[in-house]
Amino acid sequence: MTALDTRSPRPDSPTTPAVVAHLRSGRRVRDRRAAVTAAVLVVALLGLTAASVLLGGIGRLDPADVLPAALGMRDGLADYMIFQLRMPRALSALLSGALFGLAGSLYQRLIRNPLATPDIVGISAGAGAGAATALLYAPAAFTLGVPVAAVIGSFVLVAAVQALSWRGGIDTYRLVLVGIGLSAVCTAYTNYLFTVANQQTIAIAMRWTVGSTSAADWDGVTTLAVGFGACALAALFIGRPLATLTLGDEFASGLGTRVTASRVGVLLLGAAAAALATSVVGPIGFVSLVSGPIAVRLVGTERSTLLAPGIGAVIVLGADVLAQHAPLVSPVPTGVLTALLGAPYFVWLILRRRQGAS
Amino acid sequence: MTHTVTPQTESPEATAPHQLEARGISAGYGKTPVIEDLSLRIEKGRITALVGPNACGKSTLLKSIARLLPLAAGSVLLEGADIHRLPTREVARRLGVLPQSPVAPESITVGDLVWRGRHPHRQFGRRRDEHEDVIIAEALKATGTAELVDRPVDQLSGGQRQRVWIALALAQDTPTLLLDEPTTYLDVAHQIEVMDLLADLNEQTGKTIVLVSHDLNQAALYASTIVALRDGRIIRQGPPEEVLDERTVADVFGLKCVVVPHPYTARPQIFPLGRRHHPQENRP
Amino acid sequence: MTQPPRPVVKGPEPEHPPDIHPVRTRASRGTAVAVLAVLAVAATLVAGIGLGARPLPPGEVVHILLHPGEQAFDTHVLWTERIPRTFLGLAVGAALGASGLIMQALTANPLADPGILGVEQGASMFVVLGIMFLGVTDAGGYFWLALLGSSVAATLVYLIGTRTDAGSSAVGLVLAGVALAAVMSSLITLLVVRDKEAFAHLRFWSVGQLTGRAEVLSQVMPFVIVGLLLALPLGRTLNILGLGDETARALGVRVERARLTAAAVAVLLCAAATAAVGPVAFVGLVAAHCARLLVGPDHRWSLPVSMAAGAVLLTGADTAGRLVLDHGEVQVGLMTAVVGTPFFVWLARRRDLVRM
Repeated sequence: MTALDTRSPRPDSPTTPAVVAHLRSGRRVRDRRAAVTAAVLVVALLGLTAASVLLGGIGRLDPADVLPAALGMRDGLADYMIFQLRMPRALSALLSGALFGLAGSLYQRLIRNPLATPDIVGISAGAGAGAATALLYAPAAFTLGVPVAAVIGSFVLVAAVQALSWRGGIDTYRLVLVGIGLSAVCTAYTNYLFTVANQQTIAIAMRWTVGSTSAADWDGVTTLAVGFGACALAALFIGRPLATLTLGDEFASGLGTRVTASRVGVLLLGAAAAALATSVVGPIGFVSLVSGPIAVRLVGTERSTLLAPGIGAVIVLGADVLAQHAPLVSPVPTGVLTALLGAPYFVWLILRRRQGAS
Repeated sequence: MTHTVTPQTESPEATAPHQLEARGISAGYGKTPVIEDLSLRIEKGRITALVGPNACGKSTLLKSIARLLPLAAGSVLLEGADIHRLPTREVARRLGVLPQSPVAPESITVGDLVWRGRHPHRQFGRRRDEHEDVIIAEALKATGTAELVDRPVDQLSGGQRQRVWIALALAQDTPTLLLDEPTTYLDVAHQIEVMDLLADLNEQTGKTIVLVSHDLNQAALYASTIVALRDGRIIRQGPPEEVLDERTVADVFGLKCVVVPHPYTARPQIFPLGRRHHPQENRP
Repeated sequence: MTQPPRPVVKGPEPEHPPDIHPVRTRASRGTAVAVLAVLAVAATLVAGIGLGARPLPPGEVVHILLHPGEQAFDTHVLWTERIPRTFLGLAVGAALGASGLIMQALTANPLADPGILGVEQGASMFVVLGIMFLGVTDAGGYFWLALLGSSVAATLVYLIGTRTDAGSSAVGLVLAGVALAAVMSSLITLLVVRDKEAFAHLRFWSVGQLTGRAEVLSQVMPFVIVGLLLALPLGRTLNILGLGDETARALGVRVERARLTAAAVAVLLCAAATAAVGPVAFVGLVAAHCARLLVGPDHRWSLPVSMAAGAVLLTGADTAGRLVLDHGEVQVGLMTAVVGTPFFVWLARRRDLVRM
């Protein structure tokens, strides 16, 4: 017989129905909290979009004309500025932010490390290199060529990073280091392309080195919208296998997840999302890094991937409005502001982990 | 040298298919196999402990029969069916695995973590129903973690955390449970706590439990079958009283020892003898 | 690394007193490598001067080098363009090589490099500030700003990087460097974005290049030479510090002061290099590892060898950058990134670097 007698008694053990009721109420609370957070995000996005469109940035518009023009009641300049400049800009900031947020959250959960986002592990740089190549050497295929090339570039980088950091297993920090290295090569290549090509303008260079929404147009918005729709749908399908992968490959396998297929799926999905965003607005940094952890903090790990795109959208759109209107510094490329806000957070992130561990 | 082992205790259901059976399996990492042509039968409703020195292949064996490692040769049968031919979800409904030192996602709560054990039973698009919550509640209660539901896993003590992982495996609701060193990194009180819990589960629900253990004495106290491995081969197997003697310990671990029955349960317990602990050499 | 296993002292009576230099390079090997290094530098010098849009045979290059006063066309072109550029490359490369090796030794981190750790970006940031707000225009002024900036950046990266739990301090420092470099380059962009001329200028400076910097040579050279001279005697200190702070203290070294001195020299070298050519990553990293592969971990030998390796590497990369395109050239900073990254990745893959 085993020593059953010595086991510590559990006098206050609750009954099963009580535990079930507790589980339910806890879930309801968290569902409600997620819903409220999502609602707040939607309101914030609406407000920021309105601010971006109404305040504008490029050129001046008679304030009296703004609202009527936005409602389609003006022609000419006002109509042009609202619909051809400001709306695409606001929408591409919003959608690219959502894509960056989604990509970051997927990677952070899969690799189980808040540092391992597409921009840190070099995926965004690969996408930028692909996009820049297409932009300079195949401008004819502009509308579709650039996003496709960006996605291809990011997939190549995924494969390279995975292959190079594989050593009988993937260590997160090795992955991050290899990513940093490959990212340096891709950035060097992109820089090289733009220093060689004579058609470099400051707008283009800005867009491809720090990321900027100033060159947005409706083609870009379409790309982003279709891309976000497809990626979000795929993320819904892959959500559950991903939830088991976060427990480790062996656990996931034990729970009946096809580990390799799911892993590759998540990696490619995240890369595609980051690449599509990069192909339109360039490598806006630190958004994918920040969105996921903020979402986790707000609604917990389980629901974070659903919320992360919203957070990303708020960040990029907010940074974009700020980049156009902040006193002293504006106008600056959006990516400059996200880096200035995101990098200190990054530092805090690597510092904080020590305190959590010790 | 291969042991095709027949059960050494009288099993009431000797004719029924074994819960788990490995037939001539070879497996390992990379090109060199860790275990080669190994066969083993796991009996239903019992606790089986795989013991042996470091790198003897006990974890490899566990992972192979849990289909976490691909087999280079041979086959693993789960209730008579080839485990690699079954859909992986189907296997996950019958066989739970708790790997060694699993990691919880950052700041996940106990409730959310245990809920993931339901993964193999869920279909896409279906919401969770009443029945599932009951299973989770039972798993939490059985492991004494019901009070911890809302706590983040990373704030728990080692023993609590290990109980939460076992709760996850219980929520998977499988007749068989494989555990890889479930007591590593725990202090001795928590080790006993976890082993007691496994014994309770085995006794109350008839769950078949297979565990890798690095502690011979615990294995002897709790398991009904001991499988001793060395260099990827099974050296001996059977009930602790029959298997654990000075010769087996010397063969398997290369360690001299004295075996003494436990004062309350009469299970064999090992007292190692180092170079300085021989009675004649110790005398002044 | 190539360090041979030290025989473990067994038994109660050690026959020799403990060796202060735990890792000794045999003098014969060191001398051989030193000769090799000198030859390599000379070859790089000749190649750097001879190769380009108008290639010259080595004999002619040597002739021109020995007769600076001649009035031939080639001589004039070479003495105003290629020769200063090549010497600048050698000096900056040597500074980066030494700086990289010292940083690696001080942080016990094989990934340390003035570029990777963001120290060069800090220097750049302050140079840009100086250009925009203080009206600094000469490389001497750049140097003092760069020195200030790289000191600030080095301190920040060290403070952040050694306080993380990112796998190991090696990874922590790199991550801190990446973050700091991102902030610095964003600030630079922020500062210059509305000044089109400065932006266009900076875009080339910020990738690191040797073109059109002939006048810089005389202004920065003194700082580089002082830095290199200060670095040379550090080998012994670094060897002892490598034993760990407690052992070093037991051997009578004032650890804090020694570390600070070595760090100051590394930062000074990095600042001089950055002031001269802009941020160039990976040179220090690759040079330091090459040196250690050649002469082992004895810093008394590997420090000068690392200087030579850095000089060869940077000048070689610059020369190659001139040759890979039909017209125009690739900036040396891009070339070193392309050469250095495979190396960095290879290091990152080493099993002992990151815990599994």
